[in-house]
Amino acid sequence: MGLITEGKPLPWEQAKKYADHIRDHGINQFLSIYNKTKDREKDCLLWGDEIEYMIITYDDEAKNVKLSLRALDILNELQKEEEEASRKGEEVDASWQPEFAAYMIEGIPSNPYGNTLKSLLRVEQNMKLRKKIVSKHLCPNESIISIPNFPRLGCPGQFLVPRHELFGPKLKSLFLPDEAMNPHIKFGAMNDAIKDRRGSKVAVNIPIFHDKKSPNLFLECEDALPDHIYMDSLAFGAGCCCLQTTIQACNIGEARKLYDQLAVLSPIMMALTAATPIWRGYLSDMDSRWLALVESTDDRTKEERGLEPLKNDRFVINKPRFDSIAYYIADDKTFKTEYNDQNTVYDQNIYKRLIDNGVDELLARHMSYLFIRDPLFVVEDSLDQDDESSSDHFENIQTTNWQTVRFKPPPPNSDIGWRVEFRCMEAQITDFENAAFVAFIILLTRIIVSYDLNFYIPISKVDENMITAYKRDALNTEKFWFRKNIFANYDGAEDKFEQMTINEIINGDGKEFPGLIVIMFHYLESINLDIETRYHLGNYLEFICMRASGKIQTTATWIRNFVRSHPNYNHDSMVSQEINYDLIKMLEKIQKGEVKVPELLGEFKIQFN
Amino acid sequence: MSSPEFSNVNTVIVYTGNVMKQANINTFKDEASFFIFQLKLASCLENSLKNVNSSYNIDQTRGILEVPSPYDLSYKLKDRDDFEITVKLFYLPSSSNSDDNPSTLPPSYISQSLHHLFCLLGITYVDSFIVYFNGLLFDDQDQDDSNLVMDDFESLVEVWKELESQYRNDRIKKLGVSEFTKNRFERFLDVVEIPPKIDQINFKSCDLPNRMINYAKEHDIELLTHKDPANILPSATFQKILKDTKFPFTSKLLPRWVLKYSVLVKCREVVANKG
Repeated sequence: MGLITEGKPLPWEQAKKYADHIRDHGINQFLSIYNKTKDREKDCLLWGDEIEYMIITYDDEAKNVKLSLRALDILNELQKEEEEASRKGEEVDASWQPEFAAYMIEGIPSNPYGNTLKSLLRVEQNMKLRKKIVSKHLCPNESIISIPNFPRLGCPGQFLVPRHELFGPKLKSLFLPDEAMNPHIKFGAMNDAIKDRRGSKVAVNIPIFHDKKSPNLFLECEDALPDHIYMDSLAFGAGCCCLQTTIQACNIGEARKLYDQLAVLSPIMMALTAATPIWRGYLSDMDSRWLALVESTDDRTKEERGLEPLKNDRFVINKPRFDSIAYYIADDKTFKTEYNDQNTVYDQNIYKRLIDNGVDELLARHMSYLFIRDPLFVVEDSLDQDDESSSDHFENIQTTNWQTVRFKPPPPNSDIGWRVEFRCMEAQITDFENAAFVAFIILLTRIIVSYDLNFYIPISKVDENMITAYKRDALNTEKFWFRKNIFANYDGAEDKFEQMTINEIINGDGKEFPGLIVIMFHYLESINLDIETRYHLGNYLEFICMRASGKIQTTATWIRNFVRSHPNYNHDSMVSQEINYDLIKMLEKIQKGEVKVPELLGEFKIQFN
Repeated sequence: MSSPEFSNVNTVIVYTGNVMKQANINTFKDEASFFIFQLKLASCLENSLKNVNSSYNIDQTRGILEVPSPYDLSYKLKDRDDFEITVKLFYLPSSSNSDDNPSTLPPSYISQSLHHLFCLLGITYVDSFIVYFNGLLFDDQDQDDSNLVMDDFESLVEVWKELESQYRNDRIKKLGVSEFTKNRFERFLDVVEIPPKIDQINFKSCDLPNRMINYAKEHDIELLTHKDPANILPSATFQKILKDTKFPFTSKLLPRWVLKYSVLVKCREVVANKG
């Protein structure tokens, strides 16, 4: 949920009065950082990953599995352990953070990986180590898993332990108790701010998957759409587990280029990692979590959404805070201004201020778009900051813009360089898969820079791709806009975009388009790679190759098939308590390599030690 | 192009240019990676030779004709310390220039190839030099060592002595071999002074060559991989290119060696130049 400071937050009615103050100083802080670090060069290749996990507990007698609020206690213990170890000067491998949901914890490697590709082998190692560290704190009937969402979150019956009353004063959700949200004051504040600013509860509507006997869903609520799975809380979106990776670029130019190129790849990666077919116990017609996140964090008022004429608000905003990017930002020979064809609104005053202070047009527009948003978390005591040494106000707006990729300036007074965060991938069942996808992204950045690749397509087409990407089985059944001539040609060659399948994009079309993986293999032959690293990276790429070609299933498809072939399934799209119990048990076995699932993982070895 | 200008020429050096920036549809056409570099090398050479009429350099005194790449990018490296340059010299099947003994490997190719690379990139040393002796194939079990008969072995050692000399003159920082098995290494280490620090093996995705991996760990040898075909430039292929591009040299030219170089940006794993 981003970097937020400690302290008691102001309720929205008071917080909004400081919006301009925070934006103003946020821009000052950005300018301070920008002027000090825009000429940084030769930063090394470093990267990190972030995974969110859920703590679950089994009730074998009742054949039920529930999310556990013990996550909060476990997190406490983990953080204490980490502090102890640091104090003693011992090596710390992983760091832990709280997340929005009270049943979630987030784990990251304590130190970044890099700067050689050999370090890619440490990713899977560290991910496994994280699970091992947590496992020490688990009771015998508890477990830790990392799929994007818990299928029966918000279902009747018990899905959370301890059990609590629904429709509490904070979330006011028909389906979730307030206790599902982490009690730390900042999460409640964020939840309130979004609801209060918007002027109503958020409304998430995910189309249901129509099986032979599926019910026609409707609820006595004006925000629920017929035939959709309706959800009424930020917790449904923010309670999802993601797989994110942040990469350090050598300088600001490379960071901007990677931001643009990776943004185009976001829909592709989301379709490849799709793992969210179930919501509130129903099979949906979507395979990814994206839409739920977009809708559950949408703080736009009716005026801003264009539903009512503008009176109190400044602009109509066609993009919510959580969405794919609005503008390309790379000051690159391959970029053409017509690619930024969405014309999303941006703050003209901030834009002018940035231009007057030496920032170029593209970067100025990017920042002034991000800064149309109001801060959601305002602490009165932290309002006055030294803009030359603090970046809190900047980060306040920056980290509550949740885009597919995030352009990250260096923190003030640090040795960290310009970075790009890749945010849209779905968490997979096993760490082999998670590490494979992280490796893929890192290799993608290497080939983009080494071969001068150009993936530019108009932003409107990226948005189209994003919507296509979360459809059910998009990987195998849909086509995505993609650039045909990806090797940079500075002679002003025509743009050639076509709709291609993900298989063609990743593995090539056998004719003109080489395929990203083929280029990656070629790249691996061009560097001094030792045999063991080559072997493991080869496995990761072969795995992704098989997913992309449909030879093995996405996690979402696998889960769907598991549900639909379960003996207790009634062809009504409903995932009963018992089906869910069997599903989660199975997922745990897969995660630990205790059972072979060639339709999901081929013959790749999953080792859990 | 008139013949007299070329009457003294006895050596032709062809440059491919930076292949990282020349990717086009021909580069990745063939799925079979066995052919990829061969095809690419062939097509890059073809591109250079097609343009020989418009750009070439002749060194009359030494009789060398240089055919540069038409993709004239500024190769000269700035900030040499930021890069790691690896070269691999392939002794081709037709490398011997002696009619008497077709299996001699002229050590002179080392200084010759290095000289041209140094001029091309504007450098005075390379970080790693890997030498590939034609015909060697890697077999972790060392079942077949018929490739390495006594005569050949002496020739390898002669070449190695030349490499050692370049090493001592600071022109090479690390020496390496290709397709060496444990047995070959043991034999080699007995007779050479400066041991190879790198062994580059053809990568096969099925199994890891554990015997070699263990040996390498014990002896501090970097075990790297490659996917170069065993014969990177068959004479027939080269002669066909000469014919297809109507190269104005009438006598049969035999390819003697191929120098593959790779310029890597240190600590970023970015390939800046490869040819």
